[in-house]
Amino acid sequence: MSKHSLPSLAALGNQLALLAVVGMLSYAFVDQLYFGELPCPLCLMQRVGFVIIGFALVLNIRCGAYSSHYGWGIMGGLVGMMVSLRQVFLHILPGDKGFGKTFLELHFYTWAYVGYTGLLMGLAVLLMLPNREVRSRSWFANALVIAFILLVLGNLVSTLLECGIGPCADDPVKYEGWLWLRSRFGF
Amino acid sequence: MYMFLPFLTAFIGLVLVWFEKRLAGLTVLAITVAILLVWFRFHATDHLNISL
Repeated sequence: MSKHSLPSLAALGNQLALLAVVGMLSYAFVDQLYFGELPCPLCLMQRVGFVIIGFALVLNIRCGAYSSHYGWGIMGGLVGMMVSLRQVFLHILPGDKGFGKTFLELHFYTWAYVGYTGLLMGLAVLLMLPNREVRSRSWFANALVIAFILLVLGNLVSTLLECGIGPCADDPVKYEGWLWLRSRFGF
Repeated sequence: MYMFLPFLTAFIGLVLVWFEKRLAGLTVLAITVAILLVWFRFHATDHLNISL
């Protein structure tokens, strides 16, 4: 095996970071579809924050690494972090049971804050590495990018079904867009 | 507040990036970040009752 068939450290880091984003967005879907917990508007915004970080990583993987890609990824991560921190503060008072179920004793918005911290640290480390040969067309990189694009499409469809084309309810309990479609077209 | 909008722009941008339209993808990524910021501004209007 020649040394060129192995990915560079920065390429591997970008792909592993995208794998982490795909894992988090997938688990959010499992919680929504299997456990039936509908995401609140702040939860959806936190998903968008992860999507923005993933988007920046996809740019690196498909087009090569540029500081502008990392910059936009960091900005999206910081906005997502603000959203998750606001939701943590909304439920920080003693006796508040928080919003939604917990996973490993922490609420999902707290996990989102931890996730953003880890991903932003990862982006900082990737910026320090020599960013050569980050562009990749391996089956693993392609599968990751396709999985990520499908997850974003899934989030688009699910948000439309949950909220319709307007704002979402603060504490959603039903798929309002889906109910509107059913009443409009009678199925 | 169209909650689906940032997912729509991100999806369009990702398709552009898949076909290696880097600058177009980067522009749509910037728009997605801007939408997220504006949506957050719309949503976080009330003051939290905690001392920070």
